[in-house]
Amino acid sequence: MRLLLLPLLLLPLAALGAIAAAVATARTPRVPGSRTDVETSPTAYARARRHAAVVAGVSWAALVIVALALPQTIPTGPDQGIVLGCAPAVAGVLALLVAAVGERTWSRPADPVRRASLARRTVRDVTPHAPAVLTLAWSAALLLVLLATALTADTDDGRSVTVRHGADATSGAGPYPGTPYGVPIAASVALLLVAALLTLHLVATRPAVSHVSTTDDARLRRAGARRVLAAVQLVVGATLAGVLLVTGTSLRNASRSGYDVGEGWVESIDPVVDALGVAGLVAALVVLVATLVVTGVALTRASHETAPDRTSVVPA
Amino acid sequence: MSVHVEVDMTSGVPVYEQVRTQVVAHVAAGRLRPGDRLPTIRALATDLGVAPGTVARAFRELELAGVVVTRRRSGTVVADDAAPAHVTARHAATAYVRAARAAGLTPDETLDLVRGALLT
Repeated sequence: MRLLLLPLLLLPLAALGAIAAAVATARTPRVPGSRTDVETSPTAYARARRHAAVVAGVSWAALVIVALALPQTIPTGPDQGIVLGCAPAVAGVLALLVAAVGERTWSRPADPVRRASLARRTVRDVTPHAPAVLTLAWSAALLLVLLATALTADTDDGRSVTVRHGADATSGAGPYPGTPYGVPIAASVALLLVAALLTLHLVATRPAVSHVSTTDDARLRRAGARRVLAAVQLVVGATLAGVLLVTGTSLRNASRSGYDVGEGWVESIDPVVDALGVAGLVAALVVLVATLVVTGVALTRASHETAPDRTSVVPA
Repeated sequence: MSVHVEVDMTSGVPVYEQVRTQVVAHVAAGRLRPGDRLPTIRALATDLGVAPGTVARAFRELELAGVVVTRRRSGTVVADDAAPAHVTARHAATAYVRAARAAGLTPDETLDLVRGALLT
């Protein structure tokens, strides 16, 4: 383990530990509180929407700032690519930490008469299906790609790929996401998914908003979960796109070999490897565009589904 | 329609008792049916703004009365045999046993009183 990898591993682990601590220590305050259910107060609902927007805004700002700033701080060296590969997931974990802290800041019940639903709320209840499935799909695809590249990377260093063009002609290219890259990236994404699950748990178990109906409170929770998953799928999708880009570029470079046969320079191209390289580059572009579009749609939908005109708000 | 409990913090009735009686009432009225899952102790306590121990005590009393059962996998659920009529009778029986113990009656004396009541 190189020294550079130590902070890279410790940072998301510390953030994950903090999120887990937030979940574990989510204690009920001893101060009195309130919970009305049947009718939603427009003022209370607007305040809740603002709070949710602030939490999401700060969390997304953290994601963008860390994702942009982290690569600038990476010193050049043999492990630069590994750190770059893990940077999105590290930024994602830190953003989830901010979101988790935000979920702990919802106001507690404070009225003398309080209501609570006897329906059980679970992570599954508050998690929108499509973003969750997409997040898992990106993760599975990333794992498969990393597995494939680990199996096809050079056995000596695991950081490049070699293509044999004939009896005694080979060509190699790197960087190639073999085991030295794949294991840290997979580990950081696994940490991200655990952090996402813990954050969604906090979304499900935060106090119900006072003077807001159960239906509207559930809508606020789903929007919060949708924003969390939008960030997570963006991070995993961006990581997958990056891995595919590097893989495709290396495969295309390795598919070409030039050598002197005495009568001139001969270049040979392995069509299968070249096609795989092109497929990797196209897939990287498709994944990147798709994850950006999904992010936009998810954030827009989260905003729309909590719009006051869709609630049981009683006009003032 | 979602089933709710409502507690009044200014009431002289302890909060755990308010929760317990309302859950019993919901079961007796058929609004909560056997197998229905109740919120976790922490979740209900958080929504009501009370200490988890308060809700835990209510659930413990409900479990003693046979209204709910706590399972390792599914958490606290309404008991399978918590039919409305049974619940009311079981609740009365629990209250009776508590009163009999407070009066210093032995188990046999307690049962003799029940047998005597059944003869009327």
